[in-house]
Amino acid sequence: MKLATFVIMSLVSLLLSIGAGYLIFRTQVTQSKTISYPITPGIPVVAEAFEYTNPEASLAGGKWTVLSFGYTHCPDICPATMAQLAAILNQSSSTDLQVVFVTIAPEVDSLGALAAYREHFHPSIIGARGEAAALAKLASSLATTFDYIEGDNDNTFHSSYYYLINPKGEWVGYYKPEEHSSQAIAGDLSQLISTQETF
Amino acid sequence: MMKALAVLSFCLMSASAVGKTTPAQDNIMVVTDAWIRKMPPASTLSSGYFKLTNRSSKNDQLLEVTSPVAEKVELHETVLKDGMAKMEALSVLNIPAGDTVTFEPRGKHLMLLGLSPKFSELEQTHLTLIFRHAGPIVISVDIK
Repeated sequence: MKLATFVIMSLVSLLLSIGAGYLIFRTQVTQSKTISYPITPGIPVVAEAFEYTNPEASLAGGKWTVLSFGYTHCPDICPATMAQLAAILNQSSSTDLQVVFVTIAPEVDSLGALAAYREHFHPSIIGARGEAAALAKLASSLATTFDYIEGDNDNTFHSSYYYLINPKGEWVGYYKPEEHSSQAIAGDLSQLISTQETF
Repeated sequence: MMKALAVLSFCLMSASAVGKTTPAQDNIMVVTDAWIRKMPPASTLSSGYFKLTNRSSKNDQLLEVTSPVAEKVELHETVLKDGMAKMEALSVLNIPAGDTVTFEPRGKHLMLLGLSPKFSELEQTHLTLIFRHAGPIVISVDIK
């Protein structure tokens, strides 16, 4: 065998190996299972007339969003949610991710109250407030509901999920927070964001 | 005379029962991992968690909890159903003999209402737990 032929054949087999390796790697990445519950196709999120503790924030798209509902004087689940969302932010390296806490009690939670509340848990968590009609539309577009009764914690209820919204402003999945650690959710989000062509 | 003696002995027994306010030393009811959630300064409520282990051979009940920094402490349970979170009040809490009952976020919890303004500055406080059989137990609690 001529030296040139040998070199060419070696190069071809090397390239084939790299190509095969890449394909196997890609398949593994795209086939890796998310721990979120996917919504396909994505559903447009209706978030009109919302105000945010961070002026640059928006639910209309641009970034990946993790959204949860609650109110600032909720004793157990909302602080648990805020603490977990804070941990997710701390463990996430993505700059394309925003975390939004939407109050279900706009009549008592002012933007200032929301700002002070999120500040305690994580300054990057965005507080969002919309009047009753806007809030109802948002909840409805995420296929959920809520009821807030002032002074009656036992009859107040709201979603416990973390809603995942893509940069196009579409609802594409949700997490059940009680099923996973903050680390697991942060890792899952990083993977989803880095392979966003799957959505 | 016999009646008077019976009354006296009953009184003495009651007195000794009342005097025995530290059954924790007897390990009848063991309270561990107690903490209260630190909340933003403006908050007037918070939640508390712990594990209760009943080491006696008798079923017991947690009847009441009091705190020096809250006007009221209630027992509640967050119930997660079909993606909805809702709270239910627990009027009494049963702790069967030999069992451990865990209070944890998104589950059973104490609701501390009417927190005093100094609560947000504290790192630690205490709670008094009153059990039907084990009596009152005072525990130290981290605020975190």
